[in-house]
Amino acid sequence: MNTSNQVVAPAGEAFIAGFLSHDFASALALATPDARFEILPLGVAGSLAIEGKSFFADLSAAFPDLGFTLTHQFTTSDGSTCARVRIEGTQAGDFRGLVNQEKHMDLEGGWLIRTQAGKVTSVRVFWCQNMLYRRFAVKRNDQITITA
Amino acid sequence: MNPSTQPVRRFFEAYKAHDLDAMVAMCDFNADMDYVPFEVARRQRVVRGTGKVHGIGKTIWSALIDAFPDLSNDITWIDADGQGNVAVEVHIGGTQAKAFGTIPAASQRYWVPHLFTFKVNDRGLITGISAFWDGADMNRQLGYAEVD
Repeated sequence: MNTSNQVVAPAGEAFIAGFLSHDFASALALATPDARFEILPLGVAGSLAIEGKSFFADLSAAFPDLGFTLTHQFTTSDGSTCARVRIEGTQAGDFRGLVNQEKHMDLEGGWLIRTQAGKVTSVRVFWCQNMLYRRFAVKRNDQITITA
Repeated sequence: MNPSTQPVRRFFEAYKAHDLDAMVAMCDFNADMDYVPFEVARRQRVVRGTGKVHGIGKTIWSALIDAFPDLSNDITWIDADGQGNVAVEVHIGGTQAKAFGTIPAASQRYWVPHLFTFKVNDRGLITGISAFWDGADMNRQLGYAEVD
């Protein structure tokens, strides 16, 4: 019998909370082993355990002062969580083809976490790659190493 | 079906029918609008897709319908919570017949996944719309490689 009055957050919201607190291992523990991870603007589509972990590691390495801000989230009747997340940081290393210019970037995206039986089954991130390119003065999306 | 999803479905049906008046009629007069990727760099300032449905919303939608005469959409998932928050995964696109912003018409077609969130009040009117998509993907499909 559960005697605790503590309200358990939906799996998607708990996943976002883990991610936002830079605790990717805790976030990953809420997912099924075959959970999917997609950030299509970055060309990332694969396993949360591999591609998701790699994305988080690359982002943290390139932006050591990385910060996340959750501005809105809700969980729908089928257990999906929709979150609006701002990513901010100052570049200190190359990131996915973007050469280090020591610029500050902020990027707002929509995160859609799908769940089944209380486990995260997919994480899909929607953001605009052109917004990211603008922060780094990239002029053409087919030549991202050339900046103004 | 959650009742909050019904006005949102009707909104996208009206969008597909290019019925701007019906789209706006689904929204409260003071409804907010935030098309996050929509940022146009001008000499002195950046114009963003943030404002009111009856202002910038009508302007953006009418410009899209004008530039893409076969503009259409296809909802792939929609759900809501019990507080009037609605999330939608939807593909939107069409064939370009006229210039859209800085993108010259090259008769190319785009079809891009979007994540929308809506807020629906207890009168069944939309009071807020936010959207995320990859503008770089849209531009690439239209044959335009410039970031701005």
